[in-house]
Amino acid sequence: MAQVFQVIVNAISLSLIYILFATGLTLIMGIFDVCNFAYGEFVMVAGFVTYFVVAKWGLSYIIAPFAAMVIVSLLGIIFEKGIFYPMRNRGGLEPALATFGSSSILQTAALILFGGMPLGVPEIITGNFKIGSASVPNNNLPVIIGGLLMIALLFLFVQKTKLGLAIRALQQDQDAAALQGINIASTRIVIWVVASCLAGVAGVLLASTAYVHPWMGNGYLLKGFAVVIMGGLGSIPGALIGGFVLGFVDSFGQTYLGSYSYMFAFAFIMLVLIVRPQGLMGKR
Amino acid sequence: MKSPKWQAYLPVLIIIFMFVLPVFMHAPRYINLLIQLFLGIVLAMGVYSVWAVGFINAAQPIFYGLGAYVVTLLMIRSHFPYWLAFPMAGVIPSLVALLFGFVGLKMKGAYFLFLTIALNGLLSWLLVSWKSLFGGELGIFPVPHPEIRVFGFDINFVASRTPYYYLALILAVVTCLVYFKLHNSRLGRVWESIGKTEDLLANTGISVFTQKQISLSLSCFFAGLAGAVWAPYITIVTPSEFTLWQGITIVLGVLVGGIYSPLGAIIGTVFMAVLNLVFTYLPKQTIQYQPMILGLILVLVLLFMPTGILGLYGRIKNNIKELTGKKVAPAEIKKTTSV
Repeated sequence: MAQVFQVIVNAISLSLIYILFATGLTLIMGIFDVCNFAYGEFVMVAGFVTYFVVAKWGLSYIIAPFAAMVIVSLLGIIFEKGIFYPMRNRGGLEPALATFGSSSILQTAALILFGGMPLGVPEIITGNFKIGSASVPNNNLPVIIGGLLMIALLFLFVQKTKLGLAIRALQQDQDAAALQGINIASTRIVIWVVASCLAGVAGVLLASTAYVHPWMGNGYLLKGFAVVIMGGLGSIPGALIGGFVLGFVDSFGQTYLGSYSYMFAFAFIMLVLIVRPQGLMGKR
Repeated sequence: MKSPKWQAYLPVLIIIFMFVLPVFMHAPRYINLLIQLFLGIVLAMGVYSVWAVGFINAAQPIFYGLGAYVVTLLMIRSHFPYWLAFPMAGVIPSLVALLFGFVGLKMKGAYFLFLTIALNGLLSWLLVSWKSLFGGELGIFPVPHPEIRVFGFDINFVASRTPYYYLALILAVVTCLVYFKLHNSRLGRVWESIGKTEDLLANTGISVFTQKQISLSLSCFFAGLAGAVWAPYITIVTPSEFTLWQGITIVLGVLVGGIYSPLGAIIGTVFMAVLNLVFTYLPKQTIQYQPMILGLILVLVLLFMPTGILGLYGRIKNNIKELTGKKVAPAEIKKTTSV
C-alpha cells in the first residue's frame, strides 16, 4: 500500500512534466503540421541553464525558469526563422528531417561546450516526506505546483487572451485566419515562444529531479511524441489526458514490470492507434 | 545524338567493371568497403521507394538486422541450408513490416517517422533482452559460413571474402533492376504520385493503403536479404550494429542524392560512403563530433538543395544548354528539376 502511494505521487509529477513537454510539442505539431525532433533539445538547453544558474553560480531557483524561458524562446525563434518559416510550403517530411539534423547539431554543440558527463543539479526542496513506511521526495511538491501553474497559465492564455484566440484561429485554418487580419508571421513566433516557455519550465523541473547531459532530451522527445499521438494532434486536452495516461503507465510499469515497461508503453500506444488512429481527442 | 548512347551503356559498364574488379584488387579493406556500399545501396533503395509513397523509414537498419538474425538463427538452430535461410531472411522482416504498416501507414508521414524510431527502439530492446533466442548484448557468434554448390563447384566462403563480394554485388544489381523497372512501370508511377497527390489518386480508385503496404514490405524484404549477406560475412550479429543513427545516415544519403529517382539513392549512398571514408582519416577524437557534421549537411541540403545532387546536376545541365543556345524540351526540365 505504501509503495502504491509512492508510485502514485511519482506518477503525478512525471505526468505533469510529460504534459508540459507535450503541450508545447502538440501546439507546434498541430499548427505547423511538422514533427519537431529538436524539441527534446529545448529541454536539454533549459536543463543546462538550470545547472548554470543554480549549481554553478549559486543563484536562487526562482531565477532559473525565467532564464530558461528567455533562452529557450530565443532558440525557438531561431528555429522558426531558420527552418520552419522558409520551409513552410514543403510539406511535413522535409522540415521534420531538418529538425532532426538540428537536434544532432545542438546535442554535439552541448557535448563540445559542456562535455558528456551527467551533471547533478540540487533539488528545489530537499528531504523526504514520510507516510507510514512510504517515503516520497519533497521535490515532487514544487514539480507538481509548477506543472499545474504552467498548465493553468497556458489555458488562460489560449482561452482568454486575443493572442490565444489568434493561435486557435491559426490552428483551424491558416488562410481564413490571414483573411481575418491576423498577422500569421508574428502569431507563429508567439506560438514558438509559448511552446518554448513550456519546454523551458519542463526542463527546469526535470533538471531538479534528474541529471543534466547532452542527450537528456532524447527519451523525453519519444515520450512527448507518444503523448501527442495518443492524445490527438494539436489537442491540448488530449495532451493532458495522454500525459497522465503515459505517466501512470510508465511509473507503474517501471515499478512492477521493470524493463518490460518500454514494450508495454509501445504496445499501449499501438493499441490506441489501432482503435483510434486520430488519437484520443483528435479530430479526423 | 551521341550522348544517349554512352549513357545507356554506362550502368552495364559499371556492373561489368564491378564484376571484374576483385580479379585485380585483393585488398580486403576495399573489398570490405565495397560490400558495405552494395548492401547500403540495397537499403537506400528501400528507403527511396518508401519515401516515394510519402514516408521516411528510419528503422531500415533494424529490418536489415532482423534479416541477419533470421538467417543466423535458421542456420544454427534449425540447420537450414543457406539457400533456404536466405529467402526466409527477406520474408520475415517483410511480414513484420506488414504488421507494423497496418498501424503506421495510416498515420501522416512525419508521425510514421516517429513510429519507426519507436519501432527501432522496441526491436533493439527485444534483441537485447530476449537472451535465450537472440543472445542479448553479445549477440550470436560465430555465424556459420554458407555452403553453396553452383554447377558442381563448391564455392569457398571460408578462405576469402570475394564470394561475399559477388553475393552482395548480385543482390545490389537485382535490387537496382527491380527498383528501376518499378520506377518506369505503372506501379512505380502510382507510388510516386502517392507521395505528391494522395487524395487525387485515391479518387481514381487506387487503394492507396495497399500500395503503401506493398512498398514498405518490398523494401523490408530487400533489407532482410542484405542482412542475410552481412551476417555470415561479418560472422557475428549484435544488436549494437543496427542503430537508429545508421538509419538516419541512409535517409541522409537518399536525400543528398535526390529523392525523385532511384539513381539518387545510389549516388547518395556512394556520397555517404566517401564521406565515411574521409571520416576514417580524421583524428580519433573527432568521432563524437560527426553527428554535428551530418546534421549540418542534412539541414543545409534541405534548405538549399532539396532536389539533391541529381537535381543540382539537372539544373546545371539546363543552364549550360541555355547558355549554348540549345532548346530544352519542357518535359526534360520537369523531369530533372521538378519538386
